[in-house]
Amino acid sequence: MGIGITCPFLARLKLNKKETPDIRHAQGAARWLGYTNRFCCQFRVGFGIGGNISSNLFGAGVGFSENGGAYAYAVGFVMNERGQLDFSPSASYSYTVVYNSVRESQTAESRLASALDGVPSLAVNGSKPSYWDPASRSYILDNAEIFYNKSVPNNRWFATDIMSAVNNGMIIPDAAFKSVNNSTTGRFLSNGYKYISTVEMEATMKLAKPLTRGIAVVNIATIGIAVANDIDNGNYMSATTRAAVFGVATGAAFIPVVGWGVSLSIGIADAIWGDDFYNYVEKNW
Amino acid sequence: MIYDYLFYKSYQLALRSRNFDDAPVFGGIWGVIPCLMFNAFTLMFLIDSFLKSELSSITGVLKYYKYIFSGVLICSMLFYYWYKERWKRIIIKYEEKENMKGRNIHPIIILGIAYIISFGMLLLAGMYKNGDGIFS
Repeated sequence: MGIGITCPFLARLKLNKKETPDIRHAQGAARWLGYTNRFCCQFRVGFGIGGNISSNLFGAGVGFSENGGAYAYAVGFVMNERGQLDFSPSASYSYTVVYNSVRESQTAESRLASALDGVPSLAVNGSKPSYWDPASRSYILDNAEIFYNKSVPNNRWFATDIMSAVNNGMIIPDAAFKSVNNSTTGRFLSNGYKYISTVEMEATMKLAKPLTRGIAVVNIATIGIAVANDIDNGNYMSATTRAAVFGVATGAAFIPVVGWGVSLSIGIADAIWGDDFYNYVEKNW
Repeated sequence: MIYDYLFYKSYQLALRSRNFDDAPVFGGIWGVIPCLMFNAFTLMFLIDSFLKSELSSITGVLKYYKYIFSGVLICSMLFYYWYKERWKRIIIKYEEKENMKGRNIHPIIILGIAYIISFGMLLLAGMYKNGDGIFS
């Protein structure tokens, strides 16, 4: 049985945000779960108490609570492409929003339509009419599908997005570390020699230092420019990813012995594959 | 000045790593560069927001000439710290301060916090300028 686990930390991050909740918030939660384009077995639009949602709900959705609070949530129990139930932990977001009134006659579909207004990247279809579940005080839309068009950029920003962007950014530094540790090319970039032990490396570092440093520092600085340019263009996801790479590349230079090689490798990797990688991050995460 | 302190902390870290033994100034500016760049761009975004100007479009131009700009930036910083051995005075000043206080915060903590705060400010300034995220 899939048991959802609410995430109070994430909920608190959004607690004081005054805005109308919409499907994009649910999308953030769903994305955190790794479900961005899957078949949900159930989609709930609930009248929760506000705050965290109990852990036994299904799908991903948004809701407006009776006491003026509102929430967006996504929980496990999602059906995968093969029609099997897939279980995973859940995340929830809660909001303290000013919402004048909630009409109980409003159906889940119309609520969803309202929530989706102006959000071309998402759509929700339900194969059956919604119904009121007095036990959970929710309108339930069974067999709902969430469509997420990844080609349309999402201008919302979630704490989960920041963390995933940072994690994505670690791919390049990780590759650089492995390059220096395991490859002759990486070692050559570090110190100018291909076949050398760690002890010998320290003794012979001086050979390639000036060139390495020059290239490394210029490469590092270029990442900073790209971060600002990304933010200027509203590409916050790739900007955060770049910033993570930037921070690691800068910090790596302080690692004794291999630091310069790692830093240089990160800079080179970023220069060669960076733009493609960050574009991919921006569109797909 | 906060950048002098960052320079000092970066210098301390450089000494510990022994990667900057023959160029200590370089070790000092290494930690300053990211924060300086982020703060400069933050200021640019804020000016754009308040004055409705288009200063930030320069980031597109800078990205195109990034290697030239980066080289000029690094040379300028090296000149600034090397000029009349300014870097030595900064180091001595903060060493004396730390000796008087008798405590020394690890440079990684200072540099890490400065980096995160600088990037956070840049992100918020960018969102504010674009009207995105929490400013939408």
